[in-house]
Amino acid sequence: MKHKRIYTSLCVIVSIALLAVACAPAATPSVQTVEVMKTVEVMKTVEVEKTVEVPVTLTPPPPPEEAKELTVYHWWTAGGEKQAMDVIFKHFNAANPDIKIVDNPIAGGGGITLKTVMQGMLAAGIPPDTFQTLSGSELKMYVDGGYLDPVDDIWKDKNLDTDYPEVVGRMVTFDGKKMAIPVSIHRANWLFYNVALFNELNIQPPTTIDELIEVAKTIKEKKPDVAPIGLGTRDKWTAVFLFDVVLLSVGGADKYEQFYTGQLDPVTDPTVKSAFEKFKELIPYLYPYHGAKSWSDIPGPLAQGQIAMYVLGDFAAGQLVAGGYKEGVDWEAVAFPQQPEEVFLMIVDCFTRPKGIKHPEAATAWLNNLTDPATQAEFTIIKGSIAASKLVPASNYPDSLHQRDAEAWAQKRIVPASAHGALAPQNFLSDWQDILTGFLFTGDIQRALDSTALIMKNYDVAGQSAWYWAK
Amino acid sequence: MKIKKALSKLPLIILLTLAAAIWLLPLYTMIANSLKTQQEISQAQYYLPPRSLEWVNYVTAFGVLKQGLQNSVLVAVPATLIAVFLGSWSGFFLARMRFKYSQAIFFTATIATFLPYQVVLYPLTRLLMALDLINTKPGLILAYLILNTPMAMLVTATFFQSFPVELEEAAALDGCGPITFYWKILLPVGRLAIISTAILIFTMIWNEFLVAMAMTQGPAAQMATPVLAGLKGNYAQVWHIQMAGSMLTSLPSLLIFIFLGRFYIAGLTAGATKG
Amino acid sequence: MRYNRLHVILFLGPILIIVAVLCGMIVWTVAVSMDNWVGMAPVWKFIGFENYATLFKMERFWNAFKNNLIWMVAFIVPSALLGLLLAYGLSLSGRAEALFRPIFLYPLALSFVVTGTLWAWMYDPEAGVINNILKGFGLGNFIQPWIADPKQATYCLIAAAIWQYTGFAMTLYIAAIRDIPIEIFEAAKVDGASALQIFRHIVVPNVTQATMVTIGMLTIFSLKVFDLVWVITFGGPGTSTEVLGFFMFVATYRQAFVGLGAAISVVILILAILVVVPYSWWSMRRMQA
Repeated sequence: MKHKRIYTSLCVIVSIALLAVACAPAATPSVQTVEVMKTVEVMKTVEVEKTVEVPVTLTPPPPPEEAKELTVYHWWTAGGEKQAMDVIFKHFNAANPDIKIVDNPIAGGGGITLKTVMQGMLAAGIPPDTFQTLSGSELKMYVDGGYLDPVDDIWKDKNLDTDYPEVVGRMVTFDGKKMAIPVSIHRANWLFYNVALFNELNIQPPTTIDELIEVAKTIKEKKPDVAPIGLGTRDKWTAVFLFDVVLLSVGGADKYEQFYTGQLDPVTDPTVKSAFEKFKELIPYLYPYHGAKSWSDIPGPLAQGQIAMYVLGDFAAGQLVAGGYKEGVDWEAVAFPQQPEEVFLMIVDCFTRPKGIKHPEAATAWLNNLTDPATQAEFTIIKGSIAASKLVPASNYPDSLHQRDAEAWAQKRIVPASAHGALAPQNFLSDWQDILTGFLFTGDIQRALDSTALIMKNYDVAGQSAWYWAK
Repeated sequence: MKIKKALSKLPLIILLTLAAAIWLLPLYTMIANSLKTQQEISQAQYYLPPRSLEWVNYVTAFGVLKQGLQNSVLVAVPATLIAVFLGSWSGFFLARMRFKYSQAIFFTATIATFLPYQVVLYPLTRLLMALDLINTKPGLILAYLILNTPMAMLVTATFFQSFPVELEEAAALDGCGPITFYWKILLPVGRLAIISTAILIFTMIWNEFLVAMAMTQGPAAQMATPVLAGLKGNYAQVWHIQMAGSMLTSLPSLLIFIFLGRFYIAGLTAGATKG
Repeated sequence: MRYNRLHVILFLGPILIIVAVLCGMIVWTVAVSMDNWVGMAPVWKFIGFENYATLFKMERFWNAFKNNLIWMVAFIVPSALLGLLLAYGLSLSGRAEALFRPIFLYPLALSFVVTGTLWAWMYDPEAGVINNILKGFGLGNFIQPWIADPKQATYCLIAAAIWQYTGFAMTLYIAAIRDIPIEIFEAAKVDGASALQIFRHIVVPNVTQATMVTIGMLTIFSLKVFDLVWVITFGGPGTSTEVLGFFMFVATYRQAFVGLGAAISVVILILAILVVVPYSWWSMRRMQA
């Protein structure tokens, strides 16, 4: 009797084990790979120990948690970005062979998902040694939380006031202190177009919003199957990119900066209203299914000729090149708008040095490495961006688009982009992109202006953006 | 006579077959297109079977999902085992013992079972932060334990209630206390109930997305579902890879469903219908 | 069997701790919903019901709220009805039941993320399966923008959920139909009742309990819905498919409006209580019976 009971309970255990086996098909190989990875790690640590051995004999042994490591959180995970990150690692390890990088790549474009984690880790008092952030208002979130140490030492040491354009410094300055090291720059105001189509219709790429509407109209008349302007508002920020060039064309750079820092009243100011009017005129020419598409769904059809034009940052070029489409043959891009003034609409990627980290020396070494023009030059080629440092020449880049990027970086007026948390506060932007995408479906100008005014007030955009105007 | 009877069923069978075709279409497209080449995908004839079997898609998708699947196993298995143990431990007591407050406890546990996760998501996040468990596998296990133990208790208790009273009577005669009774009698007798509950909870955790996404980021702790959702975002238009990834993520729960479907259904209906 | 106080603590301790933690979290949420907490670090500044006032003035909130209501009606009724019809159909089909049942049930074993990935592709206006199949069969006139149209998108999501959850309702109904004494059916057949009449007069009145359970569970699900929205439309086009759960996540985790997000959670909680408490009460009473 007793035996039987034991037997049956054994049966239960076995069946639970079987259950675990039942889920194994997907799991078994991964378990194996873990073991492989483990052994690799062991080998690495052995190497580290070897290199450390010499100082160890001279000085008292460092406590184990002081092991030379550097925890990095960033969102450069997609295809080429990962390889680009490896370049930074390569340069870093060349200068700091004894520091082991603990890499934490976090998928999710624009680092939206990274913010969620970082929020948790910083609030919990377990910051990584360094993490990626955008400049301006997004960086301000971390600064306001009191989570970051200033990086003025590196800034002065590396002479960044002269190496970097003035406005870049302004994007990371809070209360007179530099809070992050800019690395890589993207330009947001490019207009991509299909070369064959433009040749066939014998039209020139537009330089202003009115020309854009005119060109779109022509394309729609002559080629009804082609969507004149591509857009993918499943990523709502794409609507902001499109609106921003409209606003720049209608109002110019000064009005743009004023609007996104809360200096204009959207209801009474004529510029914002006429920008919305022009934006509305674009609606009939937009790709009709934009609500179901992501930004990265558009470049392919553009190069294939189903879509004629696309306003987005230079990172769309990476997507085109990856798809095997040739610059100047399948697609071409022009800075937009060129009237009243061609500006460089800037997105800045930075890294930080949080407070209370375990390896401050390693973090400092990391940031030092990032300021190195050689690192930036090699990194940005693969990343598809340009170097923040003016010391990297335009000839560094193999393609025309990034050469023109770098030339504009040195010569044109630089304006921080609103999207990706640079100029306007983060929470405002989230609602703002909803207003813009919603507007593309309703076309209700008054409602859009009223809601804009409301969120500007609710989120105290003027107050939150005061840092930009601080001297 | 027999033929006539069979004929009278024909319209019904045709209707059911049509409905079944609709229900199978997504599964068919998932499997068929996960085995196509990018070129075939771009021709957009999704209802055609693949011309050749491109298993390499699965290798690609597995490369992306490997760590996520591994994390899912390392989270879902322990969380399930602990939740089912704790749940059946308490569930046994409530279902089989006369206890003054069992009604009240049942009631609260039922509410806890059906509570939308969103209501406690942020406090749970802060709790894990406070415990330094945010973005770790133990943290996820703890979160799922809190969210799923009430359900495990409810389901096992429902099963246990249907067992005959004689069980205790015999045990009481042997002078056996509640602890011995749970280990020596209830677990063996109720093994089907335990397995059914475990399968139910395991599938729920394996398939869960909201908590996994809110609490973890990056490869170290992220489960397969958020990685798959990211795959959709980052690899636009590579439908064949997405479908292969979807298949890989579904495999454990589908296998359970195919081979242990009986238990799965028993667990599913236990809380809802009583024999 | 005899037990002592130690046994009570030992056996009920774990579940009581967990329930207490859950209750604590709910109280915490309610407290936070009355604070002006914006940003990463906690801000315990009591502002009464101001978050709620802000919320109720937001078009976005009412849009999400409305979508939750649409979900309740357009998701629950068809799922339950289809489930019942399928269950009855299967019960009539004899041996074919074993073949058909898993076909309607397997979607339940899939993750919403998988369902979402799958249906996002089914619905894609250009590269999507549905439109291409329509095109392939010469039904080009029926092509729809599906999830690209703000008016259709929520219903597209609901259709995917119905596809996934009908099997659940069906399973409950199969069990309920099996519980109806076979003599009743046989008596009806002897009286010459048609299958339809049997359905109306015997099946429907005898499955009310299963209907209660189905509706209860599906309502709870429709309040929780998040993953499908996240994966298929991400709340878009615009904000047209946002539901309260989605809005709460965006407000709390993306915009760092923790107080406001907590207020949304409380709204979800109240809606859930309206369903869950009577349902729990009812199912507990049934268990006692």
